[in-house]
Formats: sequence, C-alpha cells, structure tokens
Amino acid sequence: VGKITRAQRFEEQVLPHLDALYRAAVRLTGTTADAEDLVQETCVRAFEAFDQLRHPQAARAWVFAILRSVFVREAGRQSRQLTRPSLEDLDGAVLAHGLREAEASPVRQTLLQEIRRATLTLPVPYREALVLAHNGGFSYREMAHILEVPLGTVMSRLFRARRMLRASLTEPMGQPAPVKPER
Amino acid sequence: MTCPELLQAIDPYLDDELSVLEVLRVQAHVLRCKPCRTALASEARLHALLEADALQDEPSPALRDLILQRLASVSPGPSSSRRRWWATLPYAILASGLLFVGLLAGVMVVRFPGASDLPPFIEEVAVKHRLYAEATGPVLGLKTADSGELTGWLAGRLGFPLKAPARLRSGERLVGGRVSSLADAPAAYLAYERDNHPVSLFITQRLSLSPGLPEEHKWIVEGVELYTSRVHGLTLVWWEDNDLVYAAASTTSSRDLAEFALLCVRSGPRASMRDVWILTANAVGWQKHRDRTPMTHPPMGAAASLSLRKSDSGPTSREETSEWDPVLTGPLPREERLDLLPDRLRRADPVQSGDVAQTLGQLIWAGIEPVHQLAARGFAGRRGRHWA
Repeated sequence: VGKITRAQRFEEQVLPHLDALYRAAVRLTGTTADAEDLVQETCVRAFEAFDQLRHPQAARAWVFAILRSVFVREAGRQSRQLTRPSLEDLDGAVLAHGLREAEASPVRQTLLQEIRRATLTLPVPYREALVLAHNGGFSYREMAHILEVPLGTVMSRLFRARRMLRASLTEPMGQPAPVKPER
Repeated sequence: MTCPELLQAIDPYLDDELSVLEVLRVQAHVLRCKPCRTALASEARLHALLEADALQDEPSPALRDLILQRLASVSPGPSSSRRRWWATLPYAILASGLLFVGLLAGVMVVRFPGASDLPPFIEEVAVKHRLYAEATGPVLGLKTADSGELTGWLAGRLGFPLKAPARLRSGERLVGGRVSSLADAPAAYLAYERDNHPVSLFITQRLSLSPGLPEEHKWIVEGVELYTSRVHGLTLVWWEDNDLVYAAASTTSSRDLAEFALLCVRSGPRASMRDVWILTANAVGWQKHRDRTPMTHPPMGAAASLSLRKSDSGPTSREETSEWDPVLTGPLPREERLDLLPDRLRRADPVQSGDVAQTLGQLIWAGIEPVHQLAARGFAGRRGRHWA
C-alpha cells in the first residue's frame, strides 16, 4: 500500500474546492479578510475531523457543511453586525469585483454589483441557502442535509431569498410573476 | 399543469430539480401561456445573474499556502488525542475505576479503553455538542423542560419512538431539542444543563454499533452496556437501547455522564409495542443510484413501496402496501408523500401521518438505504392518540 499521508489526502480531496469555498465565504461575510479567515478556519476544522469523511466524492458537501457551521456560529457570536451588514461595512474590493465580467456592459456590471450587495444584506438563513445553491451548486437534497432542515424548507428559503433579492434590486428585472394567475 | 403549479415549479425547474417528465410539462405549459412565459423568463434572468456572480472572485494565491501552513501545525485529528488519552491510562484506570465501582451498585464487569478505534460518529457527537452548546443564535427547535412533550415532538418528526430521562438529578434540567443528524442519519438532539454546563443527548436509529465495537471502551453496568471515551476534552458515553443508539456528551466526568445514561436507560419502555406499527419502505434501484453524484433525477426503473403492519401480530398480519414510481413523481411534494402512505395510516390523522410520510419520503428520495424500517406511532400529543 502506497504511503499517502492524511495531509496529502486532505489536499487531494478537500483543497480542490478552495476556490468555491472562498467565493461562498465572500458572499457570506462581505469582506475578503473575513472570507479568508472563514475559509482558513473551515479547513482547519475539516482537517481535524477529516476521518469522518468516508466517501471522497462527498468531500464538497462535507466541507461546505463545515464552512456553513463555522460561519453560522461566528455570525451568532457577532450577532447583528454580521448577519445584516450595512452598506458601509462592505468591502469595496468585494463590491468592485469583476475580472471575468470586466468586458461586460456597464448595465450588466451594475446589475451584478447590485446582486452582490443585495445578497449580502439578506438574513443569514436566506443568504446561506442562496450561496449553497449558486456557489456550492448543490441539489435541494444536499442542501437539506447541509442545513439540517427538511427539503421543503430549503425550497421555501430559496424562493424567499430570490424574492427578497428581486425586491431590493434597484434596476427592474423584468415583469414580476403574475399575482393572479389564470385558471 | 395549471398556472399556480407552474409558478411553484419555476425555481425547481431553473435549479434542475425536476424529473424529465416535469420538465416537459413545464415547457408544454409555457409554450401556450404568455404570463407564465414572462414570469419564467424574468426568473431565469435573475438566476443567470446569480450564476454569473457566483463565478467571480479568486482567492489570493497566498491563501492556499497559508492554509497548508496552518494544517501542518494542527494536531492530526482524533488519533493523536486518543494517544494523549492513553498516556494517562494507568491513572485513569485507577481513578475512574474506583469512582465508578464506588458509585454504582451492581457493577458486573468494568473494562477500560484500549487502543482500538472509536466509531466515526463519536467525533461527530463531540463536534455537534460544541456547535450547539456554543452557538448563541437559536439552535433549538423546541424549548421545553417537559421530557414527554419533547420526545413526542421529536418522535413525530423523526418517525421513530425514543425516550429521555424521565427524572433528572438536582441541578440538572432539560432545555429543549431539535432534529439533527449523525453519520448521515436523522437524529434527535436533546439539550440539558447540569450545574450550568451543557449536556447533549443524541438519539439515532440507523447506526449499528455491533460490528467493530471497541470492546475496551465497554462498561457493563447493571446489565447495561455503556461505552465511554474522551474526545477533544469532552466526555462521551454511548449505548444501545431497543435498536436505538444514544450518545451523551458533556465536560463533566465519565462517572457523572454514566449516571445520566442510566437515568435514561431506566426511564421505562419508550413505547408499548401494542402501539407500534412497522412501516417498511423498500426502495428498489436506489442503491446503485446513490453512487452517482450529483444526484438530480431518480434512475429509470427505480421504484419504492411502503408497507404497514402491526408489530405484535407477526408477519402474517394484515399488510397494506402502496407503490411509488419516482420517475413519474420526482421529488415528492407533501401531498404525494401522503399518498404513499397505506390507507390505514392516511385515514388516521393527516397531519401526523404527513410528518411520517415526509420523513420516509426524504429518506427514500435521499436513497440512503435500499430498505428502511421505521416504527410509527400516533404522536398526536403527550398522551398520544394512536393509529392502532
């Protein structure tokens, strides 16, 4: 049996998700410094508990669950300030993102900036659902597992998160869903 | 598909959560319905923006190195903490052995930890104890000091009967509980306080302790097998009782926690068998499916059935079965889960049987195991209206 150390296995199975973890952390915390701290803390916790990960293919969901719990605990500790950051608290670097979207039209850039800002002001349960769906790319079932809530709760949180997002965007997003559908 | 149904399906449609059949239904509807087409297009725009935003930001190149540096200085997990524990073994044997023998009458066998591995869920119990105990936000689903109320509430959500200490020692109180998980299985979490120190009790159904049991961790006390260890500065005690695994965690001594365990074990039968119906959920073709990641749609040919029989009547008793074709139904909305339930359960109490059906539906949908056996009771209140 080839000697692969625990650290090497961790590097192979968990660290490929570093970029995704960081992006999720940025959207959860709102500042690059907090995001880096969150990712570091997550990796340390994950490394300590690495023996719990029995199926390498579950590594992504597993490490996102740890990220989420570290964040929620930290958010609980810092209470209001972190759960609902005011616009002044947000990191300029986070809002002025856009390496990949640099060539996008000014309108689109504004919209993306709006989306980012609106996401950061969502209450934690909605923000984390949105981040897991879009940054994590998880299915409802996986999210239910990570968030430890029923599937129906995942669906309603996502639905409400997107509703709140839509409501807080200054640019119109097109017509809203019909209030009184036919039939 | 009607318009209200379509509006409900927009998010799952865009999140790729619908079955092929449902996708076709959505597409057929929006082809002939303009308001719904507009709504879908508008939602799709929002989704596209969220997806575009999700790909932005790169971590600084230094972050990875920083993490690797930190990991190098981190103690390499539970194995080393166990080694530290063993280093103090002679003293631990002496101290805890004497205390334990002195405290508990009727001790038959006392054995002490050796160098075998702990079950993986023990680490998880320790981590979740910390997580819940240190969280300042709302963690508990139900806050109550009434043990009967809490176990009824939890059993209704988990689909299996459980028990908790009916009587507590002085300085000890029940705070509340929530639905949690252990080793990927649904679990009850009950929060206690002993002299203001948090004590956690986890109860789960699907763990099997028997294979690979660390014999050296075992104490047999008054005929009850208890296992104990220390993980990350916490004391853990776990035991099996009527097919359920109980695990308690706290910063108190193992003697103290073992007493707590015995209070729980002795708190009487968890449910009269007369009241227990056995629901068997049989999911065919899911085992294979589970290996596919990510799972978005059920495999072709997968099917599931639920059957119900009264546990004390033996295998020849009346049995009601319903079939479920997940390819047609996809992720189960609540009503359809309810439809899965055999008639007898469904007629009895829509709300309560809906909870059980939801639990079952989620288990099957998650493809956790090909066959589940869940005991279901009428958990309609503390005194309990029963389906039987």
